[in-house]
Amino acid sequence: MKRARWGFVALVVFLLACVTVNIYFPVTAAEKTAEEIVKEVREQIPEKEEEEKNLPDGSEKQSWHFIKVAYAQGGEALEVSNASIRAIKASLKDRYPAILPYLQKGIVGENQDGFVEVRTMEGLALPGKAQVKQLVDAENKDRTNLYREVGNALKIDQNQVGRLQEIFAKEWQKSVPPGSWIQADDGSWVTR
Amino acid sequence: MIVRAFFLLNIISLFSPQLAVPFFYNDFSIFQMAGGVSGFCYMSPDGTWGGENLRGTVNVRIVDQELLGISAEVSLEEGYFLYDKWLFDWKETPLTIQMRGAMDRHGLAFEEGEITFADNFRLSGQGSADFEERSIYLKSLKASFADTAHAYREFLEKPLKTLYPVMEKIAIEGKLTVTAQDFSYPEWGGELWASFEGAVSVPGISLDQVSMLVPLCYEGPLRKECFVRIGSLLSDQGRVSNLSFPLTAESGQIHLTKALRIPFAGGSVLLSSLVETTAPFSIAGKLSFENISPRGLPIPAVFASDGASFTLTLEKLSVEGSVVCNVWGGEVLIGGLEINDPVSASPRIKAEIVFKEVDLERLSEYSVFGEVKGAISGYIKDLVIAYGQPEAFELVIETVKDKGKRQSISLTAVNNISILAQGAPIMASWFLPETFPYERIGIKCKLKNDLFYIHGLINDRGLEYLVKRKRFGIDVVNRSPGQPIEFKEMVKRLETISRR
Repeated sequence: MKRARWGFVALVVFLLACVTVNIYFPVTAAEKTAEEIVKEVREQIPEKEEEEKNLPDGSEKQSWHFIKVAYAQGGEALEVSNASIRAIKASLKDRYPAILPYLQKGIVGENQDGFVEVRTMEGLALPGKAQVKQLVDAENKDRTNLYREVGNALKIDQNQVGRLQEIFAKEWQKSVPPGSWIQADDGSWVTR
Repeated sequence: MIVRAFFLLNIISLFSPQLAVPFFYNDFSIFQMAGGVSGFCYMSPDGTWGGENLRGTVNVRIVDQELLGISAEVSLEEGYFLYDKWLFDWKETPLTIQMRGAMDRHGLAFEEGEITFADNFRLSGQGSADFEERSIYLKSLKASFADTAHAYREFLEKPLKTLYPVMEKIAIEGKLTVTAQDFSYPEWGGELWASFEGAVSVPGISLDQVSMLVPLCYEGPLRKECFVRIGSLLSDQGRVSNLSFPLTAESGQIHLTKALRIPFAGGSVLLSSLVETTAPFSIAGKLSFENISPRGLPIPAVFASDGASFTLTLEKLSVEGSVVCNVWGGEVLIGGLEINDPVSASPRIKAEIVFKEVDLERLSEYSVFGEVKGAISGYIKDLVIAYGQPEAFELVIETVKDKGKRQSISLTAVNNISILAQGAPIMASWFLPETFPYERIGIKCKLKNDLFYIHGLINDRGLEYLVKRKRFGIDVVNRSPGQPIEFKEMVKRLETISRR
């Protein structure tokens, strides 16, 4: 009897151990989103312009029932956006010209977690050091909010936001000017 | 002795070779140094804090007794000081420190201490700091800001405006005094009081002749009286004069001693049951409104509330209860109001709105949408406004039959509904009458992730109608229900409507 009970417990443990937890992570959508957002922020291009779309032909006769399908409705929109993401993108874009010289001088680098990091303060006077610290702090606050918002929009579990950050990190690193410092996957810092 | 000698050497090593001043010591039992410093620089090994190009005078005497007795006079006239992201320019506000106390590797006890920033800010007191616990205890302290505007500008606005741009929009003038007795931090204890006389302005509101005496921390069991008085509160809703908040402090809380009625925007606001808690900070209370009709609103709305309870913390403002807005012969109930991160640059507002029997004719007079007669009811569920823009909502509008009201819709309005839902007006409308009756209008609109989804609420023979005609008239059918419309596209459509 005792052996049967233990056998049952072992079976339950075995079954529980066999449960596979599948966590949803939309890799393609995350990569596309990261690419679009970083491109927009870093290349200082205006917000993605809508393709020129002509209004429906005005000469077309309609029946009593309206039958036009809105022109924006052809195909699923892939852009991940909302009011917060738009505002954060604008803030990152505004700040980029101030951060760029520090990236070029190697004072600030792009780390592997999707954040900017102070690499060295050498050659900077105290007001410059304060400015770098404030810029890095403000930039990383925006990026933290961006990852949270994009994660919510893509229905990514908050525990998986780290993966999203890594995807963004690759895009930020691609976008830095040559000679800037980036952190490799093994944690070492190299120049791009 | 060796340990103490090391300790003294550490202190000496703080000074760079640029420090050309006489100093002498006698077997490390007395260390004395007096002279001037110029171009002195120091940065902590972790880069957290430091000074640069400091110029001033130092007169330090350290006596090696059981504890190290310290007597110091330091003045700084030039240079920068950095702590984390906070930068301070001593040239703008020269510093003088006088201190007498004792120190060991665990902490510092100061018997007398006085810090003066120019002629503006004077701080004097007695107390101790524990280096290991990272705590301070102030037996007594008095900090006086003769010119609060200068102090605010130099200590807060200039050093931190890159990080918090909103600081540039705040102005404070007047005299501020902070006194402490047996105050401890970070374990809040004892008393810390602030008294202020002056003026404060934040975007949209300016307060003049402000006089206040409030505890920033008061953990004592005895009830103490305190107050906030505002001679004049000026906002875009007009001026309110002679506001007085009678308060009492007791065991870490401040209470409003009696309900306060404030005339505001043509009506009045009744504030009651107000309680402020110091650590962690929160303010809770009850607000009732009567006949509030804010100026500057594009609609003739009158607000009232029968007592909404609110709680404000640094993270969230939440309101229990609802605000009723009477507008266009109907009623709009705003409930579930929540503002996340209320003190940040990007507060996120959440609310639930229900509207009942709003007169469409009067509503359409205030919009470019075109004339519609009848009445609507509906709701806005899960409304989220972030960075001043709608981020998510579910809007349902449905006409309701009202015996006294005729139901009709103009061709302009039909075209605009078409533009909104489908991107284009109806075609071949030249032969249609200007106005015709409708059976029902029902629209559901959802915004999520910058995508709008529009549905008609009337389903008939497999079709989804936004507008259902009577015998004669026009139907508006949604031929692509559930198809998303991008936010930018919707903005374009709204612009098209407003241009028509």
